[in-house]
Amino acid sequence: MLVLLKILLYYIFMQDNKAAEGLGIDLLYEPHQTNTGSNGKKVSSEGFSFLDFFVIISAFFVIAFLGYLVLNPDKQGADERNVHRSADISSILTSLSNHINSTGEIPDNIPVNKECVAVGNEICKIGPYNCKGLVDLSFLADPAKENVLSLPSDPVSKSVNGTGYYISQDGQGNVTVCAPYAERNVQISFTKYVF
Amino acid sequence: MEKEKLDRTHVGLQFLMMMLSLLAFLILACFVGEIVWITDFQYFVVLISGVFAIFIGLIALLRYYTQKANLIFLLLGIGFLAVGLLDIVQLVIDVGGFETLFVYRPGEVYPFSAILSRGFLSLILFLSWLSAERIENGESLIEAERRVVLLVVTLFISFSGVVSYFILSNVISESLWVVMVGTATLMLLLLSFVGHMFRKGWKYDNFAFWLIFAISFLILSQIFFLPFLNIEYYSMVNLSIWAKFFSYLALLTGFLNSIYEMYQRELLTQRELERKNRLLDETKKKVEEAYLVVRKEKWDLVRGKKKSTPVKKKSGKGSKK
Repeated sequence: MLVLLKILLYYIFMQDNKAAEGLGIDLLYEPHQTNTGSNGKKVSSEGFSFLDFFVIISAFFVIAFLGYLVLNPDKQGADERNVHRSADISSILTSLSNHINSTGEIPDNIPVNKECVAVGNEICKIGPYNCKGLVDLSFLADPAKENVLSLPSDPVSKSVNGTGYYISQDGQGNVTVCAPYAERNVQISFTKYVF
Repeated sequence: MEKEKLDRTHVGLQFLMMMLSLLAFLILACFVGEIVWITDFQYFVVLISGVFAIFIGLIALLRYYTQKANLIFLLLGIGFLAVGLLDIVQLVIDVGGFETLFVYRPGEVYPFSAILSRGFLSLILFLSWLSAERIENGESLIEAERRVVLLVVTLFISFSGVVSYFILSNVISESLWVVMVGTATLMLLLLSFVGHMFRKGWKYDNFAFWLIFAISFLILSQIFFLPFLNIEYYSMVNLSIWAKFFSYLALLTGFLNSIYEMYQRELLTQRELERKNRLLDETKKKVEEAYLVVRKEKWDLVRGKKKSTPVKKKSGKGSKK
């Protein structure tokens, strides 16, 4: 309380252009010594140095960074994109599951691999894209069938033909769809037993 | 005796370093979510911090008993020994492998055990400011020393006792309590920071600056712990513990710096003493030489008088005649 009172008094005196002597307070250094110049005006003998300026600027940056971290728009964006990815792979898996339920077998072009993220496991985009080396799931978007799906793409994937999502099966009825481009170390991978 | 002020540029650079360190830590916090290899350092850093705290306590006590001048060293010394103990207690409570010793599961009381050492440390740092104020007001050292020891020991026993009672009797299971105690800890740290800043010890003493440095990192640690920031939870806990560890490092640097300065002062005093002894010897020699010269002159004068006396007598007699 005493300190707070002192700070208040200091700022009141400072506003009046009076020295806050006797309060034992200054910001970083002693109050600047003032000498009287030849023209009678007061001249400060100890100015505001470049170093003081740097200290204040860096203090400002510390507070600004703390404020930035309270909001952290980067994380908010990444979280939103991760939610988007989860929804995407969930919808792919659900559509695929419905398709398998109707056909009774897992499509041959889904590679058998224990690792979801592997070369050749990326799902190809639907449309006029080259699906060589990718997993073509265009049968999910067959307008003649009920399971119409426009295959979503990963929000940050820069692949021309791939969606950025990967798919694999273990050969025993478990199909895994994963999003390796998930941000902030989040693992997004869904596995479903389709029979 | 009036204290000698530190160079203004030196002080400015110290504060610039502090701000840049805080800034670097916050920038790390911005990107920590993207760093793959940072997973969970919690127990490891808590263990190191506990050992470090005990080490710092011993160094502080060594510093105090080497030259009994500043009671803050005594206070921090005993306080840090207790803080180290509490850190290790927290580790024992949380880590699996000691389940047979307690009636609860490891991790069940985690949030509250985690604020044990933080709460106690904030109390100690707040007291360090208060005791510094009192000593500067001219209280006798022996009296103050006795009070400090009693105060810290009483605080430690009552603090640990009350908290242990609450933990063991499962009275505190809500995380709301943790937030309340954590906020109180943050307030105490902020008060200590403001108090030490306005005490202006950093103008005269490097240790005062390192104390402020440590408190600023502890404030950051508490902000990460509570948590006010929008970062992943495990990252926040990790960063909080890292910040606490850095604050311990800063205090250790301060103590070592203080010991170094003390020995440097002794060295300077010794050199000054040697210089003065040399001057004294030279002065003594000069005095002896001067004494010999004066004695010789006096002797010559006396001899001259003796020689010249008969002539004078003769002439005197002659003149009389």
